[in-house]
Amino acid sequence: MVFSSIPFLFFFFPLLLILYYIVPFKSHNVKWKNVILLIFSLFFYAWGEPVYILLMLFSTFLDYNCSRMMNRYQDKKKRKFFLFLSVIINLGLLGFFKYSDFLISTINGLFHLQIPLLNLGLPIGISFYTFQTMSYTIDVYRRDVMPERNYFTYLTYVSMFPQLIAGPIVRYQTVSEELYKRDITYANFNSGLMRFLQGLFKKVLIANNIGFLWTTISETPMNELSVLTAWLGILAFAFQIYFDFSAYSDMAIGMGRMLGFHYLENFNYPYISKSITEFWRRWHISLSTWFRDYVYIPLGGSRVKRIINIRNILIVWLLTGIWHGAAWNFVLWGLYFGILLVIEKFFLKKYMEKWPSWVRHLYACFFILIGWLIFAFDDMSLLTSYAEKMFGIGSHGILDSTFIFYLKNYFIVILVAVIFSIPTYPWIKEKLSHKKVYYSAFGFVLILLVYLLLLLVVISYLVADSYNPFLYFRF
Amino acid sequence: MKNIKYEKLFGIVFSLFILTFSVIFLFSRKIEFSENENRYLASFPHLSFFNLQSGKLTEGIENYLADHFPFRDFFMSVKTKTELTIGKEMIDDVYIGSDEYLIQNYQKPENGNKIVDVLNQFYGDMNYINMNLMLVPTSITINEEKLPSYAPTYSQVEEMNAIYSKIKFDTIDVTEALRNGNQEYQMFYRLDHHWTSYGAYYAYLEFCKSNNITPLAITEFDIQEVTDNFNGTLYSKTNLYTLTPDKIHIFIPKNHNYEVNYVFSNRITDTLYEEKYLDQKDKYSYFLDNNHPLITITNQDIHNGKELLIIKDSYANSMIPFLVNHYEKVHVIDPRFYKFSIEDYLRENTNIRDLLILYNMNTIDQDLGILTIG
Repeated sequence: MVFSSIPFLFFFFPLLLILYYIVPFKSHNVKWKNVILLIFSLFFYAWGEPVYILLMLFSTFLDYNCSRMMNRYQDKKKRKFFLFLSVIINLGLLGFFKYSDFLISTINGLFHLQIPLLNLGLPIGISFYTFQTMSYTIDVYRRDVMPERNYFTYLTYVSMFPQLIAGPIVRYQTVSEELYKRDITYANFNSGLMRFLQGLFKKVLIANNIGFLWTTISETPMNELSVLTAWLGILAFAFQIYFDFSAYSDMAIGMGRMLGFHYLENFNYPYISKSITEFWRRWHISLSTWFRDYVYIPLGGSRVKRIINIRNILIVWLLTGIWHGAAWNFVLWGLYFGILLVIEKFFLKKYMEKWPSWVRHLYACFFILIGWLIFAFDDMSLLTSYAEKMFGIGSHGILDSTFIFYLKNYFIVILVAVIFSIPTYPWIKEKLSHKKVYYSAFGFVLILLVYLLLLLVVISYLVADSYNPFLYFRF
Repeated sequence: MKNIKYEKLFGIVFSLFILTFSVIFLFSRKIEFSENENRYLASFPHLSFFNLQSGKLTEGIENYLADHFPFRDFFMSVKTKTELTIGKEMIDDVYIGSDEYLIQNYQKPENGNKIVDVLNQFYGDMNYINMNLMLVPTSITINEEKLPSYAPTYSQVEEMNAIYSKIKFDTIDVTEALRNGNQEYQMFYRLDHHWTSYGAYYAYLEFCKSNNITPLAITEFDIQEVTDNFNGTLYSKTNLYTLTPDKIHIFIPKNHNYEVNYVFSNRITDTLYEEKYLDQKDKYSYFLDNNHPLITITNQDIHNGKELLIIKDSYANSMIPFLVNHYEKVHVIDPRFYKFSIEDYLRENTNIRDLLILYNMNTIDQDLGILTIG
C-alpha cells in the first residue's frame, strides 16, 4: 500500500488513528498503542508483500536475539560472533534477493554462460529495513544502545509503516525512548497532519505530474530527441525523484509525529547546493549518515593517509550506488559521485571558494543532473544514446517543436517545482509570522481553504487513476 | 502554524473531511456500469488464497475503491479542470483542440511491417478475389490545424504510404477526399474517435472510384439527424463536461429493404441501426449494434449476384450503409471477435469476389485483430 492511495488515505490510516487514539494509556504507558501500531504495520506490509513479510519477521527475530546474546556476554569474541552472525545473515538476505540475478547475468556475460536467472521479486523496503536492523545490532555491539527487551517492541520499531517502505532509515536510538514513552498530543497530531499533507501534495501534484513528462520523453525514440528536450527530460526526472522521495520522507515524518514519534529530517533542499559535497549533506541524509557511521568511519574515515582516505570514499560511494539498485548504472552512479567528492575534497575545494556563488551553483546543478542521467537508465546503451542527444550527437536539432510543446504544457509545473525546491516555503512562513493577519481567524480560514482545495485536487488525481508510480521498488 | 487560537480546528476539519468520504463510500449504493465512461466498473475481487498471494486481491480492492469512490464523476472533472488550468493541452492521450475538437493522439506505429506481411500472405492465398485495403487517417490528420500549436505528431500519411507501397493488392487513399470533404461537412466527430457518416460517405466515393462503381450522389439520400446529444469516447476520456455534444446523421437511400443477420447472436433484423443506443452513452453503437464477429446484410432490392466481404474495425460501421447499396450481400467480419479462419469463410462462400479491408490508422496498429486473419 502506498501513502498516496485511496485505501491508505480513507481507510487504513483513519482507522488506525481512531483505534490508536481511543485505546487507553496511563501516564505515558503506550503498550496498547504499540500493539495497534504493530498490527496495522504488519497488515500494511502484507498488503503489498503477503509472502515476504515472513522474511521481515525472520530478519527482525534474528537481530533481536543476536543483540540479546551480545548483551549477555562481556567477552569480545562472543559479542563479535553474534554481530557477524547478524550482519552476515542480513547482508546475505539482502544480497540474495536483491543482487543474485545481477551477479548471475554479469557472470553469464563475462564467461558466456547461460545460468538461468532466479527472477525473485525484490521484497519491498528490504534495503531500508535491513539497514535499520543492522544499525541496531551494530549499535548494541558498540554499546551505544541497550538491546530491546521485548521482541514485539523491536518488531514495532522495524515494521513501523510510516518509514517501512521508502525511508527515512530511522535508527533505533532515534526512537528507542519513544517506543516506551512519548507525547501523543493534539498539537503533535496537528503539525504532523500538516506535514503529511504537504508531502502528499508534493507527491501527487508535483512529482507525479513532472514524472509524467519524464516518462513521456524517455519513451520517445532516441533519434527524435532534440538537445533541449533531452535536457528537459533529465530536469523533469531530477524534480520527480526529489519531490517523490522527499515527499515520502515528509509523509513519514508527519505520520510519525501524529503517532508521537520524532524522526530526523531526510532532505534539506538539496538542489540549492553549491557543491557535490554539500548536495550529499542535503540529499537522503539518513542514508549518507548511515554509511558515514557504519562504513566510512570504521574504515578510518578521513584521519588516515590521503590514499586510504580516497579508498574509503570510493568504497562508501560504490556501496551507496549499489544500494540504490542491482545494475551497473547504479555502480557507475556511485563511483561518479565518489570521484567527484574526491576531486572536490583534495583539489577543487580551494579554487571553488573563489568562484562566484552562481558559478558554484551552476557547477553543482550540472553534475547533479548528469548524476540523474546515469541513475535514470539501467540499460547502458540507452544511457549512452540519451547522453549523446544531450550533447547534440545524433539529436533532432537543438530545439524542436516538441520541446516547445512540452515547455508550454509543463511550464507551470516546472515553475512550481523550482519554487518549492528552494526554501520558499520556510521563507514565506517566516515573513508571515510577523504579520498580524497570520494569527487571525481570517488567516486561519485562508490556510485551511488552500489545504482543502489541494486535498480535493489530490483526491481527484487518485480517483482518476492518474500516473502514480512507486519509485523505490528497486531500493 | 502558530495561530494557536484556531490551530486546533485544523486537525478536526481534516479528520471530518476524510471520514465523510470513508463513510459515504461504505454506505453508498455501488453502480456496476459507468454510463459516463462507458465501461463496467471494477467489482470487488474474489477472496482466495491465490489472489492474496499473487497480490491480485489488494490490487483489485484498490481498483474497486477508485471506481466506486463517492462523487467519482465530480472528481474526474476536477482533475481535468486542474490539468487545463495548469496549461496542459493533452489529457489521457487526447489533444484538446480548437473549436471544441478533442483529437486522439496517434502513437508511433510499430506494427506496419507485420501488417504488410500478414495482408500480402492473405492475398497470396486468395488472389482470385478483388481485394482492397483502405486505411483511414483519423481526426489528427484531417483536423491537423485544430491541434494545439507545436503538438508533436507522427504522420499517419507517411505510415499509410509506407504500408501501401508494400501491399500487393489495391489500396485506396482517402486522405485528400476527407480533407476536401472537411471544407464543407464535418468528417469526424468532435468528441468521439470515429468518423461521421459524412466522412464515411466521402471515403465511399473513393471506394467506388477505385472499383468502377457508380456511387449514389449525396442528393439521393434522405439525411436525418438522429441525435444531437452524442458524447463520445474522447469526451469520456477527458471528462470535459462543458463541450457541446455531437450530432449523429444517417444517410437513408430510397430503397432500404435489408435483412441484417447477426450470425453468432442468432438475431435477424431489417435495419442497420439500433435505436436503443440513442438513449445510452455509447451512441456510435447505433450503427450495426456495436461490434460483432460476423454480420451478413442482404439487400433485397438488388439481384446482381455480387457479394462483398468487409474485414474491419468500428469505422466500417458507418460506411456499410453506403456499400450495401451496391451488393446483393455484404459480409462483415471483425477479426478481433471472429475466431475462425477467414480463408475458410471465403472458401465456403464462393460468391464473394470483392473484399474490403477497412481500418483506421489507430486501430490498425494497436488492436492487431488484423494479424489473425491468415
